Amino acid sequence: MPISSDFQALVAKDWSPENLMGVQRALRMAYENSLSICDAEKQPIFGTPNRPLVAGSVRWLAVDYYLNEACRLGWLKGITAKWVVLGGKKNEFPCHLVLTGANTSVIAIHLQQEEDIPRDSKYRRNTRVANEACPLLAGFEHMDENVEDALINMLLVHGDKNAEFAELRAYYSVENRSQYELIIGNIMGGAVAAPPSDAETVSEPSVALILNLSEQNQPSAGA
Amino acid sequence: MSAVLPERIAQAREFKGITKTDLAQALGVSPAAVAQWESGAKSPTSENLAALARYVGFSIAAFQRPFPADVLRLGPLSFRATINAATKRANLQSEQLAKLVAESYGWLAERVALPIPNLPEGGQVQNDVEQAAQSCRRSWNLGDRPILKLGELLESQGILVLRASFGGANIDAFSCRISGRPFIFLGSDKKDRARSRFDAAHELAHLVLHQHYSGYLSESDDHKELERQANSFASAFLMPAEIFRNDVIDSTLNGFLRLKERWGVSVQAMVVRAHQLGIISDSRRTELFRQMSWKGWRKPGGEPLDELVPEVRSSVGKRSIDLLTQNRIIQLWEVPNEVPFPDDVLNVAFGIDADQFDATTQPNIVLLPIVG
Repeated sequence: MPISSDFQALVAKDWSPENLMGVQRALRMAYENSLSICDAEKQPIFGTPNRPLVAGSVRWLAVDYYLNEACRLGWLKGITAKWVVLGGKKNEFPCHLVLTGANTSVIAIHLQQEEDIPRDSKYRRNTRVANEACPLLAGFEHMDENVEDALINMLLVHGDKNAEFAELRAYYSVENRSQYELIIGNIMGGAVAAPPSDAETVSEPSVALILNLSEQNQPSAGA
Repeated sequence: MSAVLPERIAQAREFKGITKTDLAQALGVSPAAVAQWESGAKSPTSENLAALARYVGFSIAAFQRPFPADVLRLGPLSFRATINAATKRANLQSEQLAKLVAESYGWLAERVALPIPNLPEGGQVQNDVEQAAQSCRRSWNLGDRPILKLGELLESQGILVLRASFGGANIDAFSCRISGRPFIFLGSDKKDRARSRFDAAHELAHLVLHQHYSGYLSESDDHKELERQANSFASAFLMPAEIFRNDVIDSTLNGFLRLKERWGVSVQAMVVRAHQLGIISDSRRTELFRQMSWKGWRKPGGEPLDELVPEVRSSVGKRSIDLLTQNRIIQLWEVPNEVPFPDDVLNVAFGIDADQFDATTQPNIVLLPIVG
């Protein structure tokens, strides 16, 4: 499915390099904190073979929590976060955190490996249906005037043990769950994102050997 | 065998945080015997001395080590503790820790040139705390921007910042000047970074503003006023009025939370500062405190996003020891022989785990001469 450069520009409006840095930070914090929470050395109850099950759930909670915080803290400019109920008996949970910009809508999902296929759900199927008909994906020149209806639905796939990879993908086939367009790759690449700081410059405190001590310990030339 | 110093016995007991009766019970002697050892009326037998050393974690050599004269010159001691919770015994325990650490640094200072203490003279401007905080920044060549590397800043100005566990005592932090060298001890048990940074700035305030006091500040008649001054100084030092005022655009909790990473202070501290500067009204302050209580933010560790706040790092002790070992002035396992104090003291002073001082854990490398 072709994606025009105009379309890429439109996506970049929502997902600027600064916003992607915000995503990177949120994911790193989520992974670090969920690993720390589920550390069997700190919490012996995690020292059972079932730890990975709980750890996966904690990571899921943490990723959505930090993405929500990222919006609240202004790390994701122009993006709003909203909890969407997926169903359940009381229609209260489970929920997806949906990040919505002017042109895109994103939910996060963990994959063990980059090539894994995201598990199916009613919500994801619906978004694939929407993407299949989405004029943005089909080509910018056919774009509907009503952008609200033409939001492109993306998955923020992230994974491996320490969030080594994260990409924005648009899955678009109703029948074939493996088909997607890579919208933005390598979000975790590069240096660990840190916000620009205008803090005071402070140098390390200096320590030095007292001179005669260091001289005493040098090998003598004539020895 | 060299004579045992009675003052060292008292020091070891106080460092352990126990009474004479506790010690007597632990060693199976009478409380009167302990009192006599501490007064110098009698010396412990070699068996009792060995048992005492084992119990308090001091080496026998430590009991025979003369006090450096200047270590006894103790400046004002401030304890940052939950109100009414710092008992005298806990204070004494912390005081002895400070003296032992200072003695360790006395040993270190004979070998390594440490940063020279550079505390501004703040006593005269005690009544204008805002100005004192600003003067402190200026004398350290700082502007009004946020200070994120607080530990590095304090240590580069010759104030040694150390992490210590105060056990059950409800002490958050304390500071003192010993032999002219300022020390700030921060609780290592606390995970709350924003609060720890504020503690460090609060102790800096005592060192700057109250350096002419002596003894325990907590026993001073105007203790509450001194604490108020220290809090105001910390607030003004960490959040200078002009730039902080410009940053507070949104005075909701979310708005303050957005500033937490930039200033490295808690939302609670920012709300207090904003109120102090007249940015928010009395009723707004009350409302924000009510919201924080409801959300559980006022409990220790309860405020979100503490992980975005930088830690108060200290490095002088560890780097100095590294310098000595790398230049083969001393091996790590020799340090406890030179400074024969409990592992806890060496760990606090130099930030090095006790097992690293153990000769059996050192790499077994012997340098052999090359024979031509």
